Amino acid sequence: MSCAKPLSWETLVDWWAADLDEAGTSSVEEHLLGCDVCSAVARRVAATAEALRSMVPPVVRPEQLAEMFRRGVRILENPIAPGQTCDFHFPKNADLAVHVLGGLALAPGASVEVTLRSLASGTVLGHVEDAPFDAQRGAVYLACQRDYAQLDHDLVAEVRVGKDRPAARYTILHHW
Amino acid sequence: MLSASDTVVPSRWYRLGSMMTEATDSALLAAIAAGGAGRREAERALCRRYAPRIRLYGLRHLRDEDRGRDLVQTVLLGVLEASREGRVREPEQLVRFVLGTCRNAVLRLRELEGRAQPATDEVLVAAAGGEAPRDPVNAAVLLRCLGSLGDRARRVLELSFHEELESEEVATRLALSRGNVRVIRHRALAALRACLDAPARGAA
Repeated sequence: MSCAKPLSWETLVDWWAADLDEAGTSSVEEHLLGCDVCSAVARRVAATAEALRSMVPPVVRPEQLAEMFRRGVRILENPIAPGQTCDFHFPKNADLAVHVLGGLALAPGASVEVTLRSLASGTVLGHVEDAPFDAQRGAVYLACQRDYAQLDHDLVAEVRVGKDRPAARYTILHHW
Repeated sequence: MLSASDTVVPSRWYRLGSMMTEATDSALLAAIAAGGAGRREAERALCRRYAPRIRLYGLRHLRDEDRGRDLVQTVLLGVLEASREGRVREPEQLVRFVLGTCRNAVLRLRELEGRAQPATDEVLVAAAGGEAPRDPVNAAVLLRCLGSLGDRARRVLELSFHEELESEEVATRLALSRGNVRVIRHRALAALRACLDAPARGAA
């Protein structure tokens, strides 16, 4: 199995991202429909991009949550207050858990930063600038998936509303 | 105990299937148009060859696995019917015929905004359920691999593929040129793929 004129990774990424003109798109698609070698590489591009498209980000938007619920994803909410330490057991009958980091004064358009740290080492596990939030509920939604069992089990979520304000801290001890 | 004929039949089937797999598109089309004993095997070979490629096309344009499967069935059905009736005028240009059929089918699927009627042909159903462009990615590994990229690379990937913004808009949001976005995007996607393919290293 070989290809005389293989398409480059760059071209395939541009194709997948719909960043080629009509002639370029046609040319790539004609090549892919006739070539197993380049189709295999394109499938790697597709699989990677699709993993990104379908991922649940660590901090999830309220409307995204509502959409997942509508699609039948079994979501368990775990409300936590600022300063609270929470023991959390991931339930067997849930697809996704959402830690509802509440008790925040959130005006629409507020600047919110979320930092996730390992409780044991203090290492930053993730940081989200301009994090989405639910202003009405005064909460930030932290998504937690079963796959995360292999990450640090105990973490501190720090939510800062506005640059100069102190961060609200939520400690979550996961039990898988 | 096997008789002589028992051993001959599977061997002949294997050779026929193998020959069909290696046959050119033109040879497969000729076998399909001729009908007879070789038609079914030629159709299977054609479906095996084109199904994963059509599925990739479908996922790219429809962004949905189920609709991608529907597209595979619809397109293969159209191609097989045309082949049986000898309507593929330039057999060496089968790829173009398939591409044209894909385009029309995608337009139709979009117009219908729903699922096409599933085909009942066992060959088509089997072909449509074949090799998928997606692979299951562990959420923790994905998170860790994204974290191993630089901030800018991660943002470009998130905006391009999670939020599905056009490169022009990604460029505006991140104060980059469109050319920069494209370079960062393909490099970051390659780095992410490499990390996902090495989960043991990623988990260390």
